[in-house]
Amino acid sequence: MAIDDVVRLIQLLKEHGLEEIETESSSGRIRVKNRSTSVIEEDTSLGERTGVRGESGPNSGEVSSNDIETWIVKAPIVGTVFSAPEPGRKPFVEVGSEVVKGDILCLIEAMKLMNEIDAEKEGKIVSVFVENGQSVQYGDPLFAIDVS
Amino acid sequence: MFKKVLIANRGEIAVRILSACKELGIKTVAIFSLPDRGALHARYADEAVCIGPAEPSASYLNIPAIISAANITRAEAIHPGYGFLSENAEFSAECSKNGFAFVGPTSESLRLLGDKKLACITMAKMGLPVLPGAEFSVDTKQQRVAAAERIGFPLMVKSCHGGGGRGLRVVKDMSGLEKAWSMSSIEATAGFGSDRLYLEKYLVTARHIEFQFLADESGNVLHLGERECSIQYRHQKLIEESPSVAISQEDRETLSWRINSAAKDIGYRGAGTFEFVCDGDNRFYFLEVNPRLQVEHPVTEMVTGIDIVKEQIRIAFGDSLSWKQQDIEPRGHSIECRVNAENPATFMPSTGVISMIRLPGGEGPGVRVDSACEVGTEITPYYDSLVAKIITHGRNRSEAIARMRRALETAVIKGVDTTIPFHLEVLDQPDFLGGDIYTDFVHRMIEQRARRSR
Repeated sequence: MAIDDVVRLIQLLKEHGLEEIETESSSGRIRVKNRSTSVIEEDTSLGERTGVRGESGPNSGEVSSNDIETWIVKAPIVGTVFSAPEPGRKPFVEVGSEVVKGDILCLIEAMKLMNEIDAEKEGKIVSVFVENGQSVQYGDPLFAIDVS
Repeated sequence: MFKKVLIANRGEIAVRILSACKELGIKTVAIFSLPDRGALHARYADEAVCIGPAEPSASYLNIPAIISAANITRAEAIHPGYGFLSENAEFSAECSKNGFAFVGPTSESLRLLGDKKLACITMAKMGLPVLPGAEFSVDTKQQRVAAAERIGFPLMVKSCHGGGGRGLRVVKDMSGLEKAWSMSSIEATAGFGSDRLYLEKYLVTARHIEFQFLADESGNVLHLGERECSIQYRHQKLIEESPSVAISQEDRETLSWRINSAAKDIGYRGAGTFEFVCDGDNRFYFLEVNPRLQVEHPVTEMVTGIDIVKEQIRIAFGDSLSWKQQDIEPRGHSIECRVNAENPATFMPSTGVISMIRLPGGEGPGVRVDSACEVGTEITPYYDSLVAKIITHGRNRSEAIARMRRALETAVIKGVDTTIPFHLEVLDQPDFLGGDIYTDFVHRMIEQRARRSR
């Protein structure tokens, strides 16, 4: 099971507000669970740790070697996303970018003020959930960082 | 008319405003905090935007987040409802600055009326009767003592920027003045971010009577009669009705005329309410202006047939009032009971999840219910405890009361305690039935109850 597949599942889960997705293919079976509703109210940092566990074979069994730990960066304010410092410039981060704590991931404009969204964890960007110019609500997922 | 309006509130009032927008053919945007995801107001709107976590300061009071939500949804106007940002001059100004119509008065009006002491002084100049107090300087202890001697006891220490009964203290004699002053000062600073206070004469036997009006951009003012709101506890209104049995037609006309001219003189725009106290000799004294939609607006709608919320939206759009004063013909009598999630004996908040709810309305004529509660709705400490407003209308007061009694008896709410038993108890009191109601009514009823059980 490729990491990209796992990330796509997380994305689907978020997009449709699902609690759990389970899928099976020739390479094995995987189940992704969303714990955001319980986590987000307690976690003031707005980041979220999602446990993603790969499962091989028809019978459930934990395969620890397949584990990745993903940190989901969420929008701390309603507004419009700016992926790059200015139009035409390279985005702050892309899938594959390595980030350290404090790196700017994107800007969210609210009331004509640019709010910097910084990385709270060190790791590798494995997914970008938003496009430049897209509007986001409070708590919407922005990026997934592989922190394992 | 506006194409899209954002409703910067939650609960029953957000639903009420959404309904008005729907009737006017306006698209709607709801805002919600994390625990309100899936709440009725968020589902009922065409679009809904999550603006922050549970704490009101980070969500329903979060001006940048609300303006940003209006930006991304391309709303044209913002209706603040009541409470939250409805009387916030800065919010009104930010709405205008960012190109949104604020459904309410201008920031200048809100600033003037938000300073209760200044409002009293202004209204006195405009010929409205006021209680003695606001005109005195009270910066030093000596000034306060001198003012208190002139005003007489009992008197009230009030916050210049207060509301909702906070920052208020009744003082019986000089020995309690300084302590009440410092307590109110702490409360006012914590609640309203300002420690400015003033003194005002306190009437022990008083009715709370308020006058609803509408004013448009062109200076037309329409008065929609009064509401009697004397059934209160700890300065929280519990039962309201219109008309009041205490006011003569002559007083009603004189006061309405003065209110209309005062509203015009300060350049007021929108719906507003002038609050008065009325003493045992039926003398009226101005207290303050509520520059917003009020919780109890439905009783006025029931007797006048005017949809106050739709008028607010039309006024904000710049339309002239669609009614003339001679078109307003109040009919019958209307009463509202606020059903709160509170212990009916102690009025302590009762939080929890509503496991069953059956609200009245389908049993016969004359009943309206404004509510956003459903099975699964959680009453949290974050927001107010209002579960439903039950409003009845009848040909006369006794028919409205009879309808209220049967409406309350058919209501079923499980999972939280509600004030329904309290309301039924009030409706059985001879003084209430006789219209003999003063602001200490609930206090006296509770004392009598305690005496009986001893």
